[in-house]
Amino acid sequence: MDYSLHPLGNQALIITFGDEISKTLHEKVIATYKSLKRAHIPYVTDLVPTYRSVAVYYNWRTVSYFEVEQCVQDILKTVQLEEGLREQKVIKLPVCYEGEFAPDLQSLAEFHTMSQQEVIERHSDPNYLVYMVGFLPGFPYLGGLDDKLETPRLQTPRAEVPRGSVGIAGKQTGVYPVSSPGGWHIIGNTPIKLFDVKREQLALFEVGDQLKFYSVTRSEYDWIDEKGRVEDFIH
Amino acid sequence: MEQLIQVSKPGLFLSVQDLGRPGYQHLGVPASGAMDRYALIMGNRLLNNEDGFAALEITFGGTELTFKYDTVICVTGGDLAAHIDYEPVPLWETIKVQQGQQLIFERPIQGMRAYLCVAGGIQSEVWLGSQSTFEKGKMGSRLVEGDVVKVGQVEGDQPSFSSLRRDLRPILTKKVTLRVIASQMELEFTTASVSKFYQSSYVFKKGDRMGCMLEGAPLVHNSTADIVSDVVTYGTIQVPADGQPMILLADSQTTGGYTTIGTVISADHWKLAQMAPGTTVQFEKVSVEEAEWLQQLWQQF
Repeated sequence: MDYSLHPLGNQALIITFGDEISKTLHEKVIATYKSLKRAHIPYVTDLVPTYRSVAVYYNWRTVSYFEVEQCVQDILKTVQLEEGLREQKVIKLPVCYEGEFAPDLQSLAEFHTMSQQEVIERHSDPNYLVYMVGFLPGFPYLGGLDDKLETPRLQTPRAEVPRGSVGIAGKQTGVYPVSSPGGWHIIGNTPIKLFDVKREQLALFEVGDQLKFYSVTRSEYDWIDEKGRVEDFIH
Repeated sequence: MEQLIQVSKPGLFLSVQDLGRPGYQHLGVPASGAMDRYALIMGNRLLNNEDGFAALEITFGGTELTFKYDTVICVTGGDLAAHIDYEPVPLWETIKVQQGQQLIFERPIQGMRAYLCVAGGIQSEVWLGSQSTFEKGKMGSRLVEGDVVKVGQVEGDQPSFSSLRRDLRPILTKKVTLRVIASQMELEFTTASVSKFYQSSYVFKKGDRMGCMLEGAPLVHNSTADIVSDVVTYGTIQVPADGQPMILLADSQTTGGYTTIGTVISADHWKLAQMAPGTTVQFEKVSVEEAEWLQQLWQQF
């Protein structure tokens, strides 16, 4: 397994496997992340996996970069690549692709000269892979969008995109965990909170999980919003 | 009697901060915490508090706080022209305050952020192991006029007078040197623009708890500014397409999509917390070993 080790300031060590978005890199990231997690290194405060790397944050008050490097190198020798994709969770996320929830569905369908229904089908068909979680609490970076749905960002970003909005931008699809400004085409909304500091399962997604969207009606949306429990959507 | 402090005027941004919430960055939750940790820790130590007790972070001034009980406090960090009953409040030493007294932070004289540490520590809701305010994640919110904050009980006697040695008090100037550990992406910039980055100076334009923007000789990307997202942290210097450095601060997002030139070392984070608009910044490259040595020096007490 090829990798390089570099410092991130004097706070973390970054293990880098490459600089692209690919499943091969992702497998290395996940397998390494799992091995490091299992090692329970006492001075490690955070392990952060990304598309291309794993960052090992350490308590710089008690340990030096050199010691962390030695320890990480030893663990990297034991990493089993095939472990990466074992025990994947599948999260089925209900999305209402209707009315006020989907302000850009019609224009996006017209852009691709397909029907709204076809957009919904193409969007809810794949099993998306959560490559990483970052940017905002609980925000999943997903891979696997149908090439036919690739769409340039909105010319003018919206000042406020509501929480739960499901959007498409470039080759990516994603879900807004909190309301924020944004330039994605919004085609639906999910009632399930991606991140809730008051919930036992803080974040719905973790790196390596799989995500499947499925279409629900407005009344189903409202029912889930009121009574749905997050556990019911994780398989 | 309840141990309370009332917010009469919050000023620009008033929030509860401690040493932050590590351990959740893999879920996209920033580590957050006090911008100037040195000021927080020293204030707590002078009061015999634990290092990580929460304090109020006062930004820029325009802040008025009223004590509802007699206690001992310590104001640290930037000089925001603090006074009680028109008597200037000395920084970096403990002082007694009485019920009904008002502590006012007028405006920045030196630095941008002051810390009000109180014997017993500020009490507030704990979110994922920390009291640090992080509004975007719905973990607490900034304090507003009329808010009342609770203070913890002091075990044993109230702390006696204590003052920080002069040579341990940071000197805030309009010209700062930030020491940087180079990023592996340094090669993504032209060699000439990298040398210029370390030789010329930059001006601090504006910032908040999440990050700040500087202006000066632009860094030039060999190809593009956008990268496949990688990890970023407090101190990471990102460089978007315009080539102007952007430094991430305490509420830094966990990952970023811009090329990075390096990360400011932990011993210099207090400078980032205290930079005011117009401050001139110079960057100096150091090794990890040097950064660790500087941190050790900084920690001696």
